[in-house]
Parts: sequence; C-alpha cells; structure tokens
Amino acid sequence: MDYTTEAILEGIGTSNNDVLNYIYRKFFPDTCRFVENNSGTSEDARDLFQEAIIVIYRKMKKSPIVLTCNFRTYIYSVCRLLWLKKLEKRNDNLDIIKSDVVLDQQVDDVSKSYEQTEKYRLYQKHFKQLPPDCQEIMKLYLEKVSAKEIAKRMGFAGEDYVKSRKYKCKQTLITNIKNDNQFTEV
Amino acid sequence: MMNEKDFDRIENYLDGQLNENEILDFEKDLMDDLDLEMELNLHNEINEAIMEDDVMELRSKLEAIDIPATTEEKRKAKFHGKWRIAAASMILFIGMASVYYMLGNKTYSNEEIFMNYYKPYGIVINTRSGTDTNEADRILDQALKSYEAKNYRTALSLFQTILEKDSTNLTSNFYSGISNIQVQEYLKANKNFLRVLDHKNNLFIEQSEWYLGICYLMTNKREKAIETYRAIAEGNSFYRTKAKEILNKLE
Repeated sequence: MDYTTEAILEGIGTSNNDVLNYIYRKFFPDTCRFVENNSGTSEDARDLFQEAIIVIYRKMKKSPIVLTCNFRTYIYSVCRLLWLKKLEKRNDNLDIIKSDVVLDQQVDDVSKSYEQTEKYRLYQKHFKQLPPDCQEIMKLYLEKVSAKEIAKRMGFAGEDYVKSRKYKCKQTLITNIKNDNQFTEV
Repeated sequence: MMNEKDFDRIENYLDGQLNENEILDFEKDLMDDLDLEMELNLHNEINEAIMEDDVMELRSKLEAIDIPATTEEKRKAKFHGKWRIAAASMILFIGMASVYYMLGNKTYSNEEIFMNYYKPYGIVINTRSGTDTNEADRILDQALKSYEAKNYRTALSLFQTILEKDSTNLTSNFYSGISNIQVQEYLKANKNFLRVLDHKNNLFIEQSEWYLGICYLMTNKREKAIETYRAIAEGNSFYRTKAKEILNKLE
C-alpha cells in the first residue's frame, strides 16, 4: 500500500507506526546511499534519517506543512541539508555536496529546528538516564504539582524530601549534560 | 561552574518560588550577567525538553523500526531469547516460593525476605547514541539497554568495560550491583554498592543502601543487614517504611 504525501505528513504528526515503517522502507535507502557516498556510514544515515523525521515533526507542530513537491524529494532535501550541517561541524570536505545543492525553498527553515532537535536530544538522553523517581519528580514539578502532593503520590516522607530530591536530580542532570562532549557542539 | 546560590535562584525563579522583590533583583542581575542569563536559558531549555513526551515517544518508535539487521544484531537477538527463558523460570520459581510462604511459614529466613522485598531497580531508556557520542557513552547506553532487556550478564560485561577505565563510575557501579544480584553474585554486588556509597553525594545513595542490605542478607550477614536497615529506617530515605517492615521480621 502506498500513502499520499498528505497521509505521510499526517502519519508523522500522529506517530503512526505503519506510516513510520513505510517511510523507512520507501525512502531510507536513498538517504543511506547519499550519506555513504559522502563521507558517512549507514549508522550516520540512520541517525540522520531519524533526526530528519523529528525535525519535520517539530516543524508541523508549529504550523502545517504544505508541500509543492512529493515526500521523497522533500525528505531527501531535508536529509541532504542536515548532512551538510553535520559535515560543516566536522570541518569535512563539503565540495561534493555544495556543488550539488539546489535546495527546495521549503527546507530552508529546517536548520533552526535541527539545532533545537540536536540540543534537546542531548538533554533528553541524560534525563532518561536519571533514576525513575527523579524523572517523575521533575516532570510533576513542571506540571506545577505541589511538593506536598508529589510526596503523597510517590510515597515520600514529606515536602522537604521532595524539594531536596528535586534539587539534587536537577543538579545532577545539568552536571551530566555539561560534562558531555556533545554539549559544546550543540 | 554555577554557584549554588545562583542555581537555587534560577530554579526558584522558574518554579515561581521567588517573591516580588527577589524577582526584581534576579531580573536586574540577568541584565548585567551574561553567564547567569545563559544558565537560565539552559535550565529553561532543559525544562522544555523534559516535557516533550511526544518527541521522546516518536524517537523511541523510530528507534524500534527494524532496518535490515546485521549478522551481529541477529546473533544478539538469539542470545536475548535464551535469557528470556531463564528470566521466566526465575519468575516461576519466585512465584511458587511466594505461594509456599503465604501458606503459613511463619519464620522469616533471609531468602524469604529477599523474595518478598527484592526487585531489580527500574529504568527507562529510549535514546540511542549518535555516532558522535563518545565511546564510554556508547558502551553505557548499550549496557543500560541490556540491563533493561534483562540481559544481566551482557550488561555486566559492558559495565565492566567502563569500570576498568573508571572504577568509580556511579551509574555503572549501581547497575552492576543490581545485575550482580540478578546473577546471584552477592559479594560482587556488595562491592559495587559500597563504591557508590563511598562517593557520598549522588542520586543512587538511598537505593544503594537498600540493595546493600539485600546483599548482606543473601551472604548471611544478618547483623550487618539489620544495622543497614536500621540506619535506613531512622533516616529520611524513600525506603524507610520498607526498612522498618524488614527490621520487624528480622529482629
């Protein structure tokens, strides 16, 4: 079964498993070939393709995307632009791609979204490595649940315990993020 | 590095815990202090990232998509299968033992307390290392994934790789400790938890005290276990109530 461009975009917006699988099956090989031909590995391609889909998702959260090209051209252009940015960071030889870049105007604004995606990916990686109680407390705090209520819900001794634990969790998270080599890159 | 006072101010500012004057002071300082402003932005961005459940869910779905597996991945999948069977047998054994216990055995042996109170520490991992992640991070990521998949021996060998370079690595020591309990290497687990506790200031202190008590029980050091659980029961630990229950059964 084939999906229309609109159905694919809608599927990304709703994280539909069937559509996501379809995207990988249909469009990933082009990106993989492109990355492998331009100083990258299949693992680079997999990362890049994943980030491209998340960039598209983020873009759609801000405002609907209306494409004047088909999805194959669009995702290929997004991947190509993101790969160019990666190579720029690596100070790699860009001639191969630069000479080839005739980007669709519609992918011009993915750069900003990509920077956010890279940063937040790092933050989320370290957040997910915190003990589960830390993750829960920090989320509840951000949902404006009171320390008293958090203590009650999570079976903690009291508000003071929640506050000190939250402080320690956040402090550890920030230290771990800052100690990550990728932090200076993003 | 941010000092503790500014860290507190930033957090309290974002949590809406500052009074009117404190907010004015803080905002005035922000105008003159670029580092403080950058730090506030970082805290703010992290808060935003934490709340992106939808993006984290999408990422984990993308990671789960099966792109043609390499031979190595296929081999691992086969290996995981064997351990799932072992884990299922273990659960069956624990279940049967629990039934036996509930049917009226009144004395509490160390093993019975273990069966009633021990469970491996939970973890949620859904990020995959990027290619630019450093080697240690990549190994830690794999180790935690093996741990989450209950492949404790694989996890142990990966944690060991990290500990060979840095024996004080807290995450590796803590999860090695749990993995060692899972494979019944209680003395090794004991060492792991003591290393975490030696560090004195980290997120795994309460958990390590709790599991250290378990190790003492399973190596027949009942007095040491009582001492450990008494300290937990008298403190402000998350495990305080459970520690009291164990003490009642042990003493």
